[in-house]
Order: sequence, then C-alpha cells, then structure tokens
Amino acid sequence: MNIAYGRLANTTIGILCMIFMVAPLVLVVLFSFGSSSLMTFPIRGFTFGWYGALMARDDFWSALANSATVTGAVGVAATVIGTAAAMVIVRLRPRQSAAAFFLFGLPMMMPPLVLALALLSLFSVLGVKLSLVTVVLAHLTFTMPFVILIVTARLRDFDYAVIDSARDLGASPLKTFLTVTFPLIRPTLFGAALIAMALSLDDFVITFFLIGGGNTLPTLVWGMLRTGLDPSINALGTLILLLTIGSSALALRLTRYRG
Amino acid sequence: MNAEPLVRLQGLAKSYGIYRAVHPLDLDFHEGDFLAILGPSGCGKTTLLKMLGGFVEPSEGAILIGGRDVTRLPPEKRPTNMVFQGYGLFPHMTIRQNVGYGLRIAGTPRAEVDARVRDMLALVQMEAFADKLPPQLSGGQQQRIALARALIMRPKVLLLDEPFAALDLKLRQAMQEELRRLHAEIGGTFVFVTHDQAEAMLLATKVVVMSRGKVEQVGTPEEIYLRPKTHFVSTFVGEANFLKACRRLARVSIEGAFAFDDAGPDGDVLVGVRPEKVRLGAAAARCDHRFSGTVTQRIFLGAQVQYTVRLQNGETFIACLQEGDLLPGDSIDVGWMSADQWVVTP
Ligand SMILES: Nc1ncnc2c1ncn2[C@@H]1O[C@H](COP(=O)(O)OP(=O)(O)OP(=O)(O)O)[C@@H](O)[C@H]1O
Ligand SMILES: [Mg+2]
Repeated sequence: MNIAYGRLANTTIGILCMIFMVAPLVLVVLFSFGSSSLMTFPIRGFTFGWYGALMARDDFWSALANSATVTGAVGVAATVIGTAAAMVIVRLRPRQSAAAFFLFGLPMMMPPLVLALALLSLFSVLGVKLSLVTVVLAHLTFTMPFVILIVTARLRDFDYAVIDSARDLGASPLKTFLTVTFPLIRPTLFGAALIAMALSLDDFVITFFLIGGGNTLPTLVWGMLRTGLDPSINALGTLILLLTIGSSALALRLTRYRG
Repeated sequence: MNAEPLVRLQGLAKSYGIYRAVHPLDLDFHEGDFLAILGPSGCGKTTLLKMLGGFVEPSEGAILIGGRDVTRLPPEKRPTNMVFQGYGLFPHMTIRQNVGYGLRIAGTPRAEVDARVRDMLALVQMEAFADKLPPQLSGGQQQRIALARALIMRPKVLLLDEPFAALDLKLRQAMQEELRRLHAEIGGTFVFVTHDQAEAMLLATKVVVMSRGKVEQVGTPEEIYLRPKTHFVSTFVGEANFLKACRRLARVSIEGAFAFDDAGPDGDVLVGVRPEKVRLGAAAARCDHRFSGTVTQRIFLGAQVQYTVRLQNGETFIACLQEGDLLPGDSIDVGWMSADQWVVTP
C-alpha cells in the first residue's frame, strides 16, 4: 500500500515538474498564434499575423543571416577541430586524457557571463575588433568540449582492428580515414555538429558581449523586448525553439549507440 | 628446403619503456612453412607478430622478407597480410566489398576484383553470404571472411593472431581443418600465434616456443615434443616426468640408479620422460632404464589409463597406458627407453 502511494506521489511530482518546465514554452508558442496583441487568456483568434510582422522587419532578416553564419561556422569548425582533438585524446594515457578533458571542459563549466567577460578582455587586449568572427571564436570555446566528449565516447568503443586491417590491406593513413574511419563515425560527427549548432544558435550572453554591432536571433529578442512586449517576439521565440529542438532531436538520433 | 630463407629476423626486439616485451631474437623461416608461435599469455607473441606485420615498431634488429629489409616499412607497404584477433571486418561494407577492399585500394580493374572475390569466397565456401554485412555473420563465418580478405592479396606471409581463440571447440576444429586445407591448396607461408600447444602441434610444420619474451626453442612439432630443450618447453607442450640427476664430464647419473652420456655443462639436471613413453610391469623389463615402484593412483581416462607410481627413490612418475588392470598398492617395475628421454637444466 505504502509503496503504491509513494509511487503515486513520485509520479505526481514528476508531472508537476514537467508542467512547470514546459508550460512557459507552450505559452510562447500559443501566444505567437493568438490574434490579440495583449498576451492574456483567453486567447481569442488564431493568426499567422505575428509571423508576418516579424518577417516584415529588416532587422529580423539581418539577425537571421548573422545567426545562420555564426551557427554554420561554429558547426563546421567545432566538429573539425573537436574531432581532431578527440582523436588525439583517445590515444593518450588515462591520466593525460583526464587532464585534457578537464582543460577542454573548463569553458563548458564556466558561467557564460564570466567567459564572455574573459573573452572580451582578451580580444580588447589583442586589439581584435568585435565582429561575427569574435562571436564564432567565442562560441567555439564552449561548443567544442561537447564535440570532443561525444566523439571521444564514440572512438573509445571503436574497433581499432578495422583501421589496422585497412592499413594491412594497402590503404594509406588518409585512405584509411576516408574509406573506413570516417564512414564509421560519420553519424556521430553529424550529431556532434548539430549539438554544437544548437548551443551556438540560442546563446545570448556571450554573443551579446562579443558581437560589437548587429544582432543574432537571441540578441534581437532582447532588443525587441526593450522596445515593448509585442507578440512577434513570441513568433521569434517559437522559431528559435523549433530550430534548437529540431537539431537536438536529430543529433540524439544520430549519436545514439547502435547495436 | 631451399637455402635462402623467406623471412629472416635479426636480433629483433621490442621494449616498452624499460619492459622488454620481446628479447632480441634470430629466426629464419622458409617459403611454404606453416609456423606456430606458441607461448603462454603475455609472453610477447602478438608483439612479435605485429612487428612482422608492421603494426609495432621494433626497438632493435631487422626484418628481412625475400631478402628485402622491411623493418621501417608501414603495414601497407609490406608483402604480409594479417588476420586480426577480432577479425577487424569493416562493418559498413558487404562481405563482397570487404574481401575486395585490398584489391580496390591497389587499383585492380573492376572485372578482376569481382572475379577474384568470387573465387576467394568459393574457396572459403561463403559465396551465399556475399551481399550480407559482417555483423549478420556468425563467428566462424566472420573468421572465414577475414581469412579470405587477407588471402586474396596473395601475401608472401600470412599472419594470424590467435585465429581460433574466440570459437567453440567444434567450430575451432573445423576451422583448423579448413586452414590446413587452405595451406595445402594454395601454398604460401603462414605464421600463426597460439597459446594452445595442441593447435600448434596439429597445424604447424615449425613451432617457435616463447616464454617471457624469449624464444625457448624452434623446431618441428616432433622435436619440440620429443626433444624439448628447456624445462619450460618440456612442461608447456605436454605432460612430463622428471628425475633429478647430475652431470659431470658429459655423463649424467641418477644416484643409485643408472648413468648415460650426455654432452653439456656440469651441474644439476633433470631427466624427462613423457607419460605415454613409460612402460610398466613386464614391458619395463625390456627397457634401457628401470626403477621399481608402487602404484598410488589409477585414473581411467577413456582411451587411456593413467597411473601414478611412487618410485623407490621417492619421486613420482605418471604413466599413461592403453590398458591395464593394476591397482593402487601394487608393486611394479617402471621403465623407459634411452631414446625417449631428454635432459634439461632445472
Ligand atoms: N603498447 C604496449 N605498451 C606497454 N606494454 C605492452 C604494450 N603492448 C604489449 N605490452 C606488454 O608486452 C607483453 C607482451 O604482450 P603481447 O600482447 O605480445 O602478449 P601475448 O603473448 O600476445 O599475450 P596473449 O596471449 O595474452 O595475447 C605483455 O606483458 C604486455 O603487457
Ligand atoms: Mg596476443
């Protein structure tokens, strides 16, 4: 009896937590389709109008272009560099690889605000002008650790006999990578890239400090909030939500262990 | 046997830090040899094989294949091919693509690749599986594909690391037979690593016994079994009885028993005899060397009966006979022929 009640209590708490976490997101999505410009219940009509209003803004398109540039560059660079790092790490001795993990993982564990400040001072000391490039570099510091973690995990249970076999059968190291290693880790790499992109896409703090001029989608949200609460913000929020969740879900599918 | 060896290892050694995995060794073997590297776990067999294949860089010494120094060549430039312990099949390629991989890398024309893959699959009796993926195959089938994938390259030396270790007894026997058939059919030089002395005896024309990174003995299975040169080899390749003896001036004597000539340094030695070479009772009367003793144990092993006999000097002997109706407590003569004994240092 007691056990059954305990079970029930657990389930209830779980469901309440879920509601608490998901409800705000649901509200954003609901209000983005509500025809009233006041964000209040009951929601009356259904409309795509706020999306239309959003698309009509010039700053939306430039922010979208900036976000796409940053996200794309971060996805490619984090994956390429992170994979190279992971390939080195798996060959290290246990103690060294733990140290390497800690070092690479630091930016991931640091508060974004501190990281942003640190990078900002670094760039100003170096005299680097703030731009999308500095944003991309900054995003690499906290997205790459994820790539390294994911790819290292894949490489750890990689059957190295296939690499030795390929070399044995006459393939050069490059040919071995192209015909054997890469095809085998490709899903993981795509997954890692998508996760890096999802992290990069919805970053606000670091981008805000390092972009100099212009906007990405998250900083645009912030800018729009300052000028008044307009439901097209909800439209934008929903858009970001969709992109982030979509790429994360796809990433999970791709990196999932098989067999 | 032609004079020029196909493979010559000169002072080949491997150290990991201060740890010597393989001590300097010299070894020659010839075209057509079926060589077994035999030894207990951790003795350096895999390290030696991987040096041959180019996967472990030797710390010292040289490897010559067909007179050419290949010591510093990477695996893809060596005339060797290897069957790895875990097979190392490419899981994203079909069996056909796996077997054809080496030829495709070498730029062999498509038609020739296809033909040779077909022949190879026929040779290992796996034609029906050509379009399957490796994970869909059983262990024994994967083993055949790994073999086919290496053999299609027509290596000067085929290297196999514990090829049958992962298979159950029945399948292991079948695959051993298969490998023997392949060697007989296509010829070539095979080198395989094993810790199973029966497997080494069964397949090899030449056995290299290793212990703790050192080569203990190289010889035919008969030599290794009947004329072991060290105490380790004596016990590793089969059961052995030992009698304590002493050698002075090239004469070995067992106190209060007998003596015989045997060249070698002075000192304590052991005289070894295999249990199945020991005769009991009337049969012992015609033997070169005799002791009297008492049966202490009788174990029926099906094809054989194993007796434990305490000798008059207190040592224990094991004898394996085809049959026998001796019982514990019986007094019995124990004997063996000079030709069946060997001498090693303890
Ligand atoms: N990369 C390495 N670094 C350090 N030591 C190693 C390395 N590879 C092998 N060794 C050591 O060298 C010794 C010989 O290893 P090897 O793999 O050749 O043994 P083996 O005879 O094949 O044993 P097994 O029958 O268990 O496979 C072992 O003690 C092993 O711990
Ligand atoms: Mg081994």
